[in-house]
Amino acid sequence: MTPIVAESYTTASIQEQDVLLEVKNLNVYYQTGNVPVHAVNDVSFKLHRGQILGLAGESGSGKSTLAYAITRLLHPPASVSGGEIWYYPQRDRTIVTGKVESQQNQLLGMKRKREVEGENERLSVNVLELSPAQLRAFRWQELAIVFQSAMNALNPVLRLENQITDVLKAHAPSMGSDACRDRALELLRLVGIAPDRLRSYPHELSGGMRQRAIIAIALALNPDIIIMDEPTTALDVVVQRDILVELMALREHLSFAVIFITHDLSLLLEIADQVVIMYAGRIVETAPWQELYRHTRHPYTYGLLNSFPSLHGPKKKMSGISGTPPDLRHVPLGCAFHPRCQFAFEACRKQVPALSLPSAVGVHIGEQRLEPDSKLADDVQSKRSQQCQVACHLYNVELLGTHMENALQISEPGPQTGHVNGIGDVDFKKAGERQNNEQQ
Amino acid sequence: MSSNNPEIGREVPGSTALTGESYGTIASVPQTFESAGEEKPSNEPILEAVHLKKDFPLRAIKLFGPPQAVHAVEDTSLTLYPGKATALVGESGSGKTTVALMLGRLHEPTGGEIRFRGEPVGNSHQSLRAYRRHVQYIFQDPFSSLNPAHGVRYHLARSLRLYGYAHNATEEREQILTLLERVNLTPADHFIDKFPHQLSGGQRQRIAIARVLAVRPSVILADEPVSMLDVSIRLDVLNLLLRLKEEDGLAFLFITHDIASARYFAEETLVMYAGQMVEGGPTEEVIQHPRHPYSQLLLSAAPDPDTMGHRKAADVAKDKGTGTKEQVNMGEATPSGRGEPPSLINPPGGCRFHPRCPHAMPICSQHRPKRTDLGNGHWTHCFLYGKGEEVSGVSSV
Repeated sequence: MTPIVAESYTTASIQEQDVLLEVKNLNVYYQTGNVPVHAVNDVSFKLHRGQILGLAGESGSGKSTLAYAITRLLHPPASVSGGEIWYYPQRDRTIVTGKVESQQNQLLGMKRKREVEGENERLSVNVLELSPAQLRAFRWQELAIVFQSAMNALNPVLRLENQITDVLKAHAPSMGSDACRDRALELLRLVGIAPDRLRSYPHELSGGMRQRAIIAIALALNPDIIIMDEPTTALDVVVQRDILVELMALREHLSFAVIFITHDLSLLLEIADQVVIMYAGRIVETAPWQELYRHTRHPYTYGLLNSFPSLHGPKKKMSGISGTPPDLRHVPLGCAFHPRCQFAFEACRKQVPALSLPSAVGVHIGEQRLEPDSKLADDVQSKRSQQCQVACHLYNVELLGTHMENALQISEPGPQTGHVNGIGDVDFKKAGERQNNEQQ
Repeated sequence: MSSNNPEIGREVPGSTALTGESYGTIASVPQTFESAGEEKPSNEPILEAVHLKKDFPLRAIKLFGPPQAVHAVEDTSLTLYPGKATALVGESGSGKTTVALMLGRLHEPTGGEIRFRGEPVGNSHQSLRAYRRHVQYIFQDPFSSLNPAHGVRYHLARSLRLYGYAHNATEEREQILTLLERVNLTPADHFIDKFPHQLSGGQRQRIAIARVLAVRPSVILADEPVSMLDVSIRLDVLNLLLRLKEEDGLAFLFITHDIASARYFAEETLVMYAGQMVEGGPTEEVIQHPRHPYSQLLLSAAPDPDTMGHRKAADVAKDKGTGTKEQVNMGEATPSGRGEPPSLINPPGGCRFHPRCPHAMPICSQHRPKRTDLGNGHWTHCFLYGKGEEVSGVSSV
């Protein structure tokens, strides 16, 4: 299999059979006290083969819960109340790393067993309905997870070797102990840890090395998908950069897909192909990173992008997002972001906006980012924008039209804040004119 | 500071009379620094650290042989000016927090001197008490820096009472409400009786800031004040600190590992590596033209949306066709800094960065480079830019 290059996913056409994981209308809630907390609300997305899908949001936005739901790691009080998660195995998976032959057969054997469950022509696995035994086969061979804190995810009283071979013994029992050890050594080499560290305890490793070790464990059985839950949050920038470069190289080499969860949007823009922004348990915007950065659509995304001071360019006063993230027990009616949104109008308070393709007539918040990429052909541009979805009433022409005049009024920067923020950038006028033309 | 100082001078003697009983010991403390604090032009340094050094002795691991120590900070000098912020950036373990803790006199320096308005700070309980009236500390983690058993009112009232600004319940309440409004916790009435667990991270950090303001300090040592907060509210808190800096002419030491926020917040930036200052100067100068190889490494590693398109494309191009990890690493265009910060128990001799430095020369492992001035107040400790001269003074803006 040829290595998959990041660009190819965002520019070339995406075919249905490339889909590796599909989440459909997933709902997860925590039953705490009397009020159920809807941590994940009607979330749908697709992960393509070899793609890095970035999932960004603040703490409490449901991103980790979503990751746990996909891996079936949720325990009560959390439960999945609706939706589907489909995994589409690759038909001919190339084992890039030199696995022992019998081991490889074993892997594929398990897979064939599951092929029986396949529906239609495409092999598919309903993740939410896997039995414990199937789940054991599914985990780590098809999907692995890297947990949030590198410091705590390793067992402090076990040597690194035992922790790696533990995974192999649990999920590939046919492997002999010599093969396990060889694989462990190979994995360490793969992530850039000296092989003599195999007998080390976690406390003997630095933070960066521990994180590498965890990535090595995730790679142990060469999974198709790796979910990374804030893998570099506790690390220094230099170490973080090293690990990310390493990860990108490994991805090229082993062609796994990654769901990368972080709150650091600027980091995500750097590594992800497709970015998903979550707020209060819902996806508010999803787009290829170029599209998200240049044509930011949702006001929340715009606020997030403006929450990171830049290293270059003119220094300017920035304002972030006012207010605080909502308490998930009492999510505001309508769009959950409306109390913090400067553009909120009547409909935002009543109706939950659906995630949909932004209408052609619409608003680009932060118009200054809109730089048509001359190097890109029009069809590439349009394909990119086809992968954009946004949940915001500002892009609903019918709703917006009735509030155009109000919108024009709020589009003046409020003197009371004294900050320059995104408001002035919204081209409501243009949207209105275009709409009028259309009506004529 | 100039606006606040007369006020302090006025109120403190008053507190002797009114709170003589409960706060007598504090109020009668000689105000060592009051005399020096009158109307000074803002270019006078307010707090100076000269050649600070801190060793943390280790308990005898070797039974025989010399005692060991963690050499956390070595030969660090910095100067804070009223109304200006100095950012201290570096990796974790580079000694940033130790410097701040020494400046806050929460750690005793092993060597060197701290001067407040030109006068060395004494070691007596009394002079430290007086010192802390002017120099206050914001801790990184608002989830552990507030006492969960006490409400907002208690936290703020304690500062007000201890430092003699509020003498009765009415004054206390009034001042607390004013403080809450200053840190944008409105309506203040609503927050005064809350407990920390009822507040979000950003609100807690605002309480911590209000508590510091209650003392009416002239210097604030802020140790990663926003790194524990949610992304969308970081900037709000940063803007609050920025406003306080401008309004009250506070001097800030701003510790951060995020260079972009240093650029946003501070006029001067100092880069630390493994307990040593490696580079410093006006923020724009340091960030746009980093000279020391470590500063260059740090800056190249920081995520920056503006350059990422190029970087990503370059990475992809570079990685194409290269199979193994080693080759990819060889092809890295950014200054290669592979490796990790050294152990500070037995730090490398000379420049502590030399084992990771792509430009290391034999001399780097033998001597620590002295400070070389690069003009515009920009300086660095690196042999690439000359041997440097022994500077007796401190850094200047």
